[in-house]
Amino acid sequence: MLRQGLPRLSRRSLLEMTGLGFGRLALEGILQAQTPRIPQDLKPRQPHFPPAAKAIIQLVHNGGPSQMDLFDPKPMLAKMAGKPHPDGVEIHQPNNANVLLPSPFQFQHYGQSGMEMAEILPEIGKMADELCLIRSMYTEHNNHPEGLNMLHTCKIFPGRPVLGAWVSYALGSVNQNLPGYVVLRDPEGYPVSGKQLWSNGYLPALYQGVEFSSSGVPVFNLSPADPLPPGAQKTSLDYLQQLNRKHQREHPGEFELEARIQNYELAARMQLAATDVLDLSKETEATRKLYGLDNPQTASFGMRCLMARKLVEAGVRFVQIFPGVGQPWDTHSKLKTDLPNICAKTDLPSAGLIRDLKSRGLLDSTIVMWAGEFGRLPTTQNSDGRDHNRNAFSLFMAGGGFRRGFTYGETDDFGYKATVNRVSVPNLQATILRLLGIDHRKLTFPHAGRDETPTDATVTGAEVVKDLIAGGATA
Amino acid sequence: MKAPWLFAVAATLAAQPRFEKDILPIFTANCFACHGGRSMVGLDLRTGSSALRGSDQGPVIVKGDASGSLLYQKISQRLMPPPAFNLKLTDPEIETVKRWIDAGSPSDEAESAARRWKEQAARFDKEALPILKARCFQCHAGDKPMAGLDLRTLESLLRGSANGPVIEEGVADKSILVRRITNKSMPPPGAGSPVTEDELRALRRWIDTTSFPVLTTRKERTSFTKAEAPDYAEKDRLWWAFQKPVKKPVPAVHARQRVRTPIDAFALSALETKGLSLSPDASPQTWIRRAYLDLTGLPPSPKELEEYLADKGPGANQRVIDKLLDSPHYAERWGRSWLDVAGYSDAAGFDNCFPVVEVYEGMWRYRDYVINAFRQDKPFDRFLVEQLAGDELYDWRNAKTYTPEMRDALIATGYLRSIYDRTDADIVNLVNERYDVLFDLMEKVSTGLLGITVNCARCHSHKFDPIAQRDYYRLQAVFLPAFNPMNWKQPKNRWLPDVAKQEEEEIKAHNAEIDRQIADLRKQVDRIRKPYEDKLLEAKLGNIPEPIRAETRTALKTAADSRNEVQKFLASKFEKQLKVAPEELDKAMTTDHRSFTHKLDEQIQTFTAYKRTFGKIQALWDVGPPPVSRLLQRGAVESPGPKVTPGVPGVLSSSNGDLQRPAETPEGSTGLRLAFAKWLTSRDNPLTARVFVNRVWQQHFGRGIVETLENFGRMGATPSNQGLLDWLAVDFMEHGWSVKRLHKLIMTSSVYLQSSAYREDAANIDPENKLLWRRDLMRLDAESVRDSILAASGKLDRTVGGSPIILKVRPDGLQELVADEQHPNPNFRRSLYILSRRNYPHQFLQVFDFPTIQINCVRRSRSATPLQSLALMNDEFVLEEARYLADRVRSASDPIEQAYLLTLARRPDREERNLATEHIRKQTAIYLLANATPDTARTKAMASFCQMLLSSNEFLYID
Repeated sequence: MLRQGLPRLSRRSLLEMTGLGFGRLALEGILQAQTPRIPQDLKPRQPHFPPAAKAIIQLVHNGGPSQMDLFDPKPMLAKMAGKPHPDGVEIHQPNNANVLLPSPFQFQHYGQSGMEMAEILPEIGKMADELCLIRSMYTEHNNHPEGLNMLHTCKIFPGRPVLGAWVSYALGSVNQNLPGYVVLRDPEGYPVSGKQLWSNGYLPALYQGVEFSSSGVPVFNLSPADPLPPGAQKTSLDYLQQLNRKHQREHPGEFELEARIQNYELAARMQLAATDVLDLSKETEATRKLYGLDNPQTASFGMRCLMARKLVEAGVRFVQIFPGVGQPWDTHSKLKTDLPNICAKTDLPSAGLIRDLKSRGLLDSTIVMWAGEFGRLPTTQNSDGRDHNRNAFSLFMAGGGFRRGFTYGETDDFGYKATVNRVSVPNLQATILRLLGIDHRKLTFPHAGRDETPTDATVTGAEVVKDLIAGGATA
Repeated sequence: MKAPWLFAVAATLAAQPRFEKDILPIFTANCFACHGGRSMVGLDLRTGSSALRGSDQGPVIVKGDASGSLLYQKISQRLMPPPAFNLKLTDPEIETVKRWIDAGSPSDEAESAARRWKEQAARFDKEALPILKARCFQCHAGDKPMAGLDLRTLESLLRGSANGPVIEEGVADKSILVRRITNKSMPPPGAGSPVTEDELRALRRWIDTTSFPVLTTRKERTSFTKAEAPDYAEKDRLWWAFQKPVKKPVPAVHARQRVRTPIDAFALSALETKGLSLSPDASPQTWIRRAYLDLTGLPPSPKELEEYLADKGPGANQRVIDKLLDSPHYAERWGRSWLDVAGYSDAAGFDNCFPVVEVYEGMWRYRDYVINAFRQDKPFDRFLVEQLAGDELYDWRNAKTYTPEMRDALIATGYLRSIYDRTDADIVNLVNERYDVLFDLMEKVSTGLLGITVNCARCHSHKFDPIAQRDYYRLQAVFLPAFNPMNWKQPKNRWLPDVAKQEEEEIKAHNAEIDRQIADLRKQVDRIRKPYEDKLLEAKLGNIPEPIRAETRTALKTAADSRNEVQKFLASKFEKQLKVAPEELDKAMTTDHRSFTHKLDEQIQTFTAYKRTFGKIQALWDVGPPPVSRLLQRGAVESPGPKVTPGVPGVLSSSNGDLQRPAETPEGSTGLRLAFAKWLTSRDNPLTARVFVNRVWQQHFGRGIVETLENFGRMGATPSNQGLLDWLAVDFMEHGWSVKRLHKLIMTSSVYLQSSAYREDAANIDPENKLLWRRDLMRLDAESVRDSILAASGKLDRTVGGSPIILKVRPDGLQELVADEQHPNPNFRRSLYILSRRNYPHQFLQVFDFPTIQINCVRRSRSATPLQSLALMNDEFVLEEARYLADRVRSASDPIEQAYLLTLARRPDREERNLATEHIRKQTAIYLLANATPDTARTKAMASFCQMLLSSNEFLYID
């Protein structure tokens, strides 16, 4: 009845509503020099390739986790402890000494694969056979905000859409009652760079990360500050829709009006869905334990990890989690105590998440990414810490089509610079997108006269790292 | 301790320093992060000869004259290495460099260079050459290799291609050589067999682990390659947008009765060729709401509506338009849209931290300048000239006092300062980051003012438009003397007092005198208070355990920054507890002492009030001697190419892109920006007027005549009605670039007046309404949504201008507007006065597409998202204003009608009245059921009704 008498749809409206022909759209934009047609909804869309993964959970361990103390053992550091780095290292901040600092932590072999990691990540260690550990990451800048921009947008300056926004734009959402891209930050406060790390940049605002709070009201404006009596909201919305339908009848052919009417219905459904999915009371004791909810040290991060699993289960494409306020991994000093501290907060929940996904059969279709924005120097700062290092860092991926129990790339003897099988951030993003079924060169958005892509391969040289994909090049 | 370096100097005095033995270690440790293999600004300090060759700005060493050598000046004045690196050359090191230069900069280069060459050439021969030979020699070897790239030797490889280097030392991924192989563009399909994965791996490894010797044969290149400066054919100029617009005769049309202005004739002419015509005029109610929201961003009040409807005389519409154009609210709305083009932000630098914002003090003066310019209908050409070169219009440096025009012109350069400049922090104040500011500026100027994209030409000549890479750097050269990377001013220092130098000094002298008197008074006060204070403190100290009492006392009496570790600890622990409060002091003093000190305090306050202040202008002006401008190969600061002269893209100029500098410029100015601004606003410029007229059109109709406002080039959209665009552009210039006249012309046309009603017949022919057979429905922009809600609720504070309302982040992550002296009711001011943040705009506005600003915003999107629905349903702001609106209509004789008039500028029909009554009844019942008093229930139900009107699609759209 609604559509009765609707006029012939314009091409734009049709495409916007149906979200069809999306891959072709951007291309047409290039060829026809027309204002491109941009999908403005979260309807699920077909990727370019059959996807290995349907969702991704990004654990953003910002601050610069120290690779030689966590993932990349460097015995030479111990052998040359206290001696200067022979070629000197790049430094930009005070209180650095060009003196090699051995790791205070022991490394051990984990799992069948014998992956080497530090003793302070025992739980992640137990999941070694699920991990794809990359030791040869490098980035462009030694400063946190630039490094974080790089990690999320492939460029060091702000303003570009982050990976999550691109994924949301490309794929929409499977669950029409929830946003496609959800952010779970520490309820105590924001990480450095804050909302920029889930910014839609120049993409429509629809694709930005939506903050769900793990305490209190889950979503901004999801419900009014003062609760309404039962039935009040429904009565209001019914009345509003009557007004809107009448207005729409007077303006046939305006497709946006219909979209807006539906948005109110979606918003109302979202209130229920979000409340429902974030209700952890039905989780078993075993599950709660798996995420460390029974331990005050791990409970906060564990809660977010568990929420992430529930959101992915409910069809959310992209979940981004932050471990704490500010930059928890930024160990400029007191490495020996501070690093085990943050590990203790995050190790068990991170491992729990991977284990839980696996046992529920979700790990194959869900990428888990554990990453900071850069690494740290092999030399001392403030005598017992390490300064930033853009030339090498380590991170790991799990599930969603990444190789398992696999270690990739090498750094030099001191872990200062990635040397073998170097992986740039844009290359990693291209690979993640590939596993989600997206061709990083073909996903475009017109901005300021240029067709932008998530990796801007023409400038960054981004390419898929096939070595990281299970089954290799043919995946 | 005696200065140990004295001995060191004595020991080395005898020997003359040589580069390899004495200087290279100093450079290696301190300079190579930028001036080693990266050779920032072209300066490579790895060998004696490359050091002598200098930077892209010229030599940095004058043999035999250290004090005349830039290199020595920079290191001896501690300007280099940059402070951020925290690398300090020792005095003996600086002395060694001095003696080396004074001795004529001797080096044993031949020997060491030869050795390094041999090592690296051997690695090249072994690891890279066999692959290159097998895969690339077919084209890239011999005397005339393709693209000038000869891969036969390490030296020829390092020399690169005609377009610059092909290898970046130590970074395979950034090396063009690797990229071209990886993306399979080399070897070209069909030419030889592709490079295998293993070979590529070997090449990568070689580049990733190698460090190259310095190319001794590098020469200054003076001519441009064909790629950098292609010969554009005459046909490239023939693109419509590069041709001067001309006024074609107004076409004759069939529907003559609909022609109110030439706009209508052009539109009808296009429609009639498709068998279409304009829609009938919209109703007066529709038109007046449209006109108000369009010009002022606010709906008409019921009184204004009545007055207009009662005005049956001819020219009623004109009278409304005139009234609105006279209103400051017009200037606010249209000024704000210019701020989008300018990329305006109050926030400094990064604006990277959500809870904390740093503000460019006085930036808002530029916002107010823009509002005033629209208010006064400042001719648009003049408006541009002031924003690009206001500082070059007047000799403000030597002015005794600033005239209002002079001050305005300086404030206008805030356009150039509305740019993302992160160099305030030392760690990001290196040459690369400084050039980033210039690159952004180029994009802002080209997309916003010229309607072309030049950014591709930063790295290579534009692939589609005739914009050469050389053109890009010629244009950049216009801005280099102000944003001078060699004489950089960090943004925190790039401001001027809003009074002339002489006045500034007078104010400072005046204040110094008052400060002196205040200091005297303060001394008197202290003299009286001190004994009391000491006594009170001693008494309090009695509570501190005896073993640490004395130490605590000392700690408190030591200035905070000179306390040692223990004192710091003690102070932090006890300072609060031991602090003597003013009330305690008062209580302890004798009556005489008390009243006397109070009197002195009052006097101090009176004196303080006499101090004079001045404000800050965030301005741009030329700094230091103009630097040498060069093309940057592949856009990299590390790869300077040939010198360029300042200019504009050749294709847009009849004089090869050369600029006509003004005959006279104020002292200290190159006049280059003024020359550029004059060119930009000359009647011959094919783009400027078209681009602006198109922008105004887009705001009135929701779509530009050229849809891509920022790109009139080949990759942009073609105009839907070029005759119309050109006529408007020329007419605009012919009538003194008057913006208000342009609005009036557009708004009195039949095209503007027509109804938005849908017509199936027309939609079948032109479904997207490109030819303007009807009016498009348009969603309000973010500010208009918020401001209209405030206007309806009656709470809108109509104050114009002033410092921005501070936006604070609450612990729950929501923002709130902060009340202070200047802003007693911050929640009620118009949206454009809310602090404009680069990355964290006001949340409610952002939901309705208020942009984040990277460079600028050339076009707002108008999305329809569920987040907007949630905001209108639940946001505190909406709920509160709905309550105010309910309150406002409560006492009216017909509250429902009054609410309709205030929100939708019309009366409800019978059906709507019934729906409203029914809704209020239902809600009242619900609240009564929830135990509300009858009065509260009724109030809440009314508020709900008002909120739904504010949330309705009709409210959100301009019909």
